[in-house]
Amino acid sequence: MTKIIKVEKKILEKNDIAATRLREKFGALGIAVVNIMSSPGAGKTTLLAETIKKLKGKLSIGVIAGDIATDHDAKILEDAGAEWAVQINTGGRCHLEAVMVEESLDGIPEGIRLLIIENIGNLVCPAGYDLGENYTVMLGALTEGADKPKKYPGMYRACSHLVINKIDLEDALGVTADSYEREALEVNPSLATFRTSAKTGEGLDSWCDWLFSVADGKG
Amino acid sequence: MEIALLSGIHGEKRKPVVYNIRMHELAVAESLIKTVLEKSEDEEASRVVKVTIVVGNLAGVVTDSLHFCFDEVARDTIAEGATLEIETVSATAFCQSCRDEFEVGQYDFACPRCGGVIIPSGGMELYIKDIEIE
Repeated sequence: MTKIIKVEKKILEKNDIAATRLREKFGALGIAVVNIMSSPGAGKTTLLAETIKKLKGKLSIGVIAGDIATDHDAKILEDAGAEWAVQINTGGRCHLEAVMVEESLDGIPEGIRLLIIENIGNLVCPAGYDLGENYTVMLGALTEGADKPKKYPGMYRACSHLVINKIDLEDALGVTADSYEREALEVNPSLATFRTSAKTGEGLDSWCDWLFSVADGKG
Repeated sequence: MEIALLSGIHGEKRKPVVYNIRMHELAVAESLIKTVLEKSEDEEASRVVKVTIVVGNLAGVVTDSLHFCFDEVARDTIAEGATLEIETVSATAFCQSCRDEFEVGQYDFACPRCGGVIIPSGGMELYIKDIEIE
């Protein structure tokens, strides 16, 4: 005799529960959290390093850097002036999970006001995992071509903000920030966008202003 | 648990937090089997015959791959050999221009009737509906 038992539970419920716990913890600590996702090589680390340099002395920033291997990124961000930097190596897993973030928070110093989570470079899976963040940000680079939003729509739909990076390369690439933005807005019309070049510094002011307002709870 | 705390404040240098699990569907299958086994234990089941799950078409899960991973993670448990039934559900969208409503897939970005802007809703489902046990 077999019987059917109703379950009605989310498969990733454990991640959602951990994310809720994290959100409560971040709220209690007064830390605003931004989860940044992109393809590998879009410039997350370079943009964050320049961001941290610009905000140094004005905003106390902590970073969790996710990669399959190496602690390269956490070192760069620490050198850039992050108050606190942790590296997570997933050993192959293609996204960060809330429990990983939870386990990495040990020893986070008091006074951090903005925590930036640099997710694994991947345009598919990170979108499915809530990390307890206040804002989910997609970083796109012109070097990827403007077709990425429509090839990987799940990521662009999961985000509230889009940073279009490497805008200094428009002429060399023949890809414009306008075209990238147009494609992205067709996938998710509610995206707020920034345009940056981490290399020349163009556009960093408004991006940093936004992060500052996020830390103030006014994002 | 080892943590790379590369902090200028604390100055401690430890190794990165290291995990070693591959592939998205495997992670999903692991979460799935965990809940299935917990529920079966609650029900004092001796065997799991079938697991029925609901997957939205925008949830980013490759069902073939999930079948493969499920069989792997179920091995040597009371769910070994259980059938994984996947019911797929589609997102719907409402056109902002012509007010038409229709089903959308992962790669539909505009209203098929007038080309207007659409905002999909649903399609992100990923849950266990029920389990059949002995």
